[in-house]
Amino acid sequence: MSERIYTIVPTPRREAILSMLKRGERVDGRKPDEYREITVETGIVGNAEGSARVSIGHTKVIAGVKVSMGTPFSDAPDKGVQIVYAELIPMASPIFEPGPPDENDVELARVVDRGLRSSSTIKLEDLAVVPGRHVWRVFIDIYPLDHDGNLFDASGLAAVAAVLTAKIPKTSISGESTVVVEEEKVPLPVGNAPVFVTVAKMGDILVVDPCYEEELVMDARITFAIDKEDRVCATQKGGRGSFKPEEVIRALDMALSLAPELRKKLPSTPI
Amino acid sequence: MVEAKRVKLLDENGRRLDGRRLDELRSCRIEAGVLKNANGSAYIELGRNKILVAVYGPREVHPRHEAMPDRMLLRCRYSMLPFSVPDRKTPSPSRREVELSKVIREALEPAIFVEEFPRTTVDVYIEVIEADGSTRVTSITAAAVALADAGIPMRDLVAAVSVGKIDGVLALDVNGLEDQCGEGDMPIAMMPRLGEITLIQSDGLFTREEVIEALEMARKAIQELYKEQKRALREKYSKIVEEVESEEVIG
Amino acid sequence: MPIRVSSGQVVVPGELVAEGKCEILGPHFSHNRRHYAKVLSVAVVEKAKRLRLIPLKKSYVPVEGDVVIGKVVDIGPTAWVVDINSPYTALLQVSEVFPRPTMLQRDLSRILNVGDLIIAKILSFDFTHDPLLTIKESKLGKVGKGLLVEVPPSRVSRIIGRRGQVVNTIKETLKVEVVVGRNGRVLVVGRESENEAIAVYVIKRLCEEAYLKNPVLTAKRLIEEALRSEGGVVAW
Repeated sequence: MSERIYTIVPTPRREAILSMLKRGERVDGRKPDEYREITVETGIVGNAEGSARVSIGHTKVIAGVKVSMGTPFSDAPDKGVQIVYAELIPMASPIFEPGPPDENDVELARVVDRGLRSSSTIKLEDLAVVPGRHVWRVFIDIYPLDHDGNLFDASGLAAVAAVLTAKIPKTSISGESTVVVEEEKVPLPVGNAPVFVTVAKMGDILVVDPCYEEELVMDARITFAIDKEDRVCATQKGGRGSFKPEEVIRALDMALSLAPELRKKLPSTPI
Repeated sequence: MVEAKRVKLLDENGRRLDGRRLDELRSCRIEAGVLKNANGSAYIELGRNKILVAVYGPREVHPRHEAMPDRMLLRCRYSMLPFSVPDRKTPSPSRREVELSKVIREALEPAIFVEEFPRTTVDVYIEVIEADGSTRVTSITAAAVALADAGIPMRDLVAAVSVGKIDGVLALDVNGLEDQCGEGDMPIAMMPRLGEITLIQSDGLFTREEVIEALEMARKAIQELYKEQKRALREKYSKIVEEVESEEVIG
Repeated sequence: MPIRVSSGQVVVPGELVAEGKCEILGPHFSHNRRHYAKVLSVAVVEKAKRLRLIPLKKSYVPVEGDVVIGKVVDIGPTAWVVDINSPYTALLQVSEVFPRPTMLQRDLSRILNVGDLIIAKILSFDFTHDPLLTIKESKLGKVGKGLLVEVPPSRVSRIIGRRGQVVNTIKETLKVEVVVGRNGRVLVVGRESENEAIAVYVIKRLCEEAYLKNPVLTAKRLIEEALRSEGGVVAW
């Protein structure tokens, strides 16, 4: 397959990367527990209720929040609905092909969704305008624009930043249960701000925020979503390798220590 | 459709609704080599879970261009039968099944000597016949037996279990109700002899200390499951092994 | 004692079978002087320091020089595609059919068609390309008649027997020709169809047990029993 041109790392290069790592140095000069430069911009898409563009090094992801009024799920009639979608589009990387979502698109969306849902980032219980009949459905769509590794952390940051700055129409009830959607906008009710930290394993060494080349060489990765109270609200191991239990804890500790720094990049939670 | 009510999952004695202690596995029974056509197969019952796994391979890859020149491909399909759950599940693959197919494949792959059969594929087909919580980890435990049954070269088996959080405390091997009403679920898969983790996920909320405790709870349970995996494979083939004396023979 | 398992024990992949210095035959891997089974196998302790692991299931992986029985499944412009009961599909090129160079035939199906069986030899195989076959040598070629039986590739050595003792017993006692393909396919050709059938039956029965102490004796016994009940022609 043509994608193999872009995913095969020649052995000498692979060995060079690993031996540099043993000296504590990564391909781009970073230390094992160092993130690339992170930028977060919000409110860039006027037509969206919320939006954010995040870059971590050369990786760029855009996320948008759209809301619409709809019926709730029958097993949660008094809650709004959260739907997260992601698509790895061809412009972001020569290895992405056009087509329906594949396992990577689905995994990315579901991990971000779990991180948001488990931490109750969006207060779904405040989105039931008429419980059982009319609730806000919040769609979060994530599109990587440039893939240089670590789509999880960038996508998570973009999704959360878009959610934290999202504004939805104010609503009032007229009569029994007619919903009046007003012109005035209010912030989407939020209650937490998780950050996603991905740790890659190469040999015995753990590095945070792997760039694309490191992802090609790594044995496995583990992503932790950490909420404001330092609780783990999502975990996802990926890749063909395995972790010793101590390595899982070491990776978790790396994530816990770096979470505050990532959270500083998020816009502050609206009052 | 019934709304999920707030259910009390633990009684005053710390016993769960099905009578189990917090660190107790549901009853588990595995049978190896249950299908004729598949190269390897296994059937598992864990509590009310009933899962069948078939392995085909190593065999030729179709389409051929997907074959890898230096190793075997591992493909995995996790699927739930429409009648496996209380509310019929539509037959087309859900996003959940797509994700689970990926993480299950990544849970099994580290155990396989993939360099042994270049340009071939090993296909793992998982069908959940009846679901009652923790189906992905139960599938992994059965899939490893099916792979061994197919004669796939492996460095270890893989066994898996989930650790959930109910009424604020960690509970091993959550069933459907506990998963639905609990505060978190952490599926964990390990290669038992090597002690390495090949799958770990979580939803809900866990503190750092709870993660450490969950890993230890899982490690112990996985050793128990490993015993059952070995028993199932031995039982299948021991019946047709004649008594052997140490003479020089050709196998 | 380095060996940690007993004869007849079924071992799972990754299971420790021996520790320390000893000889392990059959699929295994070692790490720090500890030896582990690689596939589901039966252990046979042959000596105090020699352990044989017999895989319970094995695919046929082509080896140069092996005689195999293949089935033509497709025809390309210059070669036939042949199923050899292996994860690797084989190719028989036109140049490997005739001992002397011939005019290029337009229609390959006139020589060999889809569904034909051939006795062939593995000309070459490394994992980077499909195995190549030849039928140029004598005793190789298209199969006209006879019965084909498929056995698990792991049982092929048993059907042949040490120095051919097992297959020769079947051939001589039943007056049949037997070609054992290393890929688990066995061809039986005889003048009496009953003897052919007995040979097939005996071969199948020999494959049932995971481990046989004395295949030659078992083969003789099975043939005798079958002849007594079937009443076929035999010459001792």
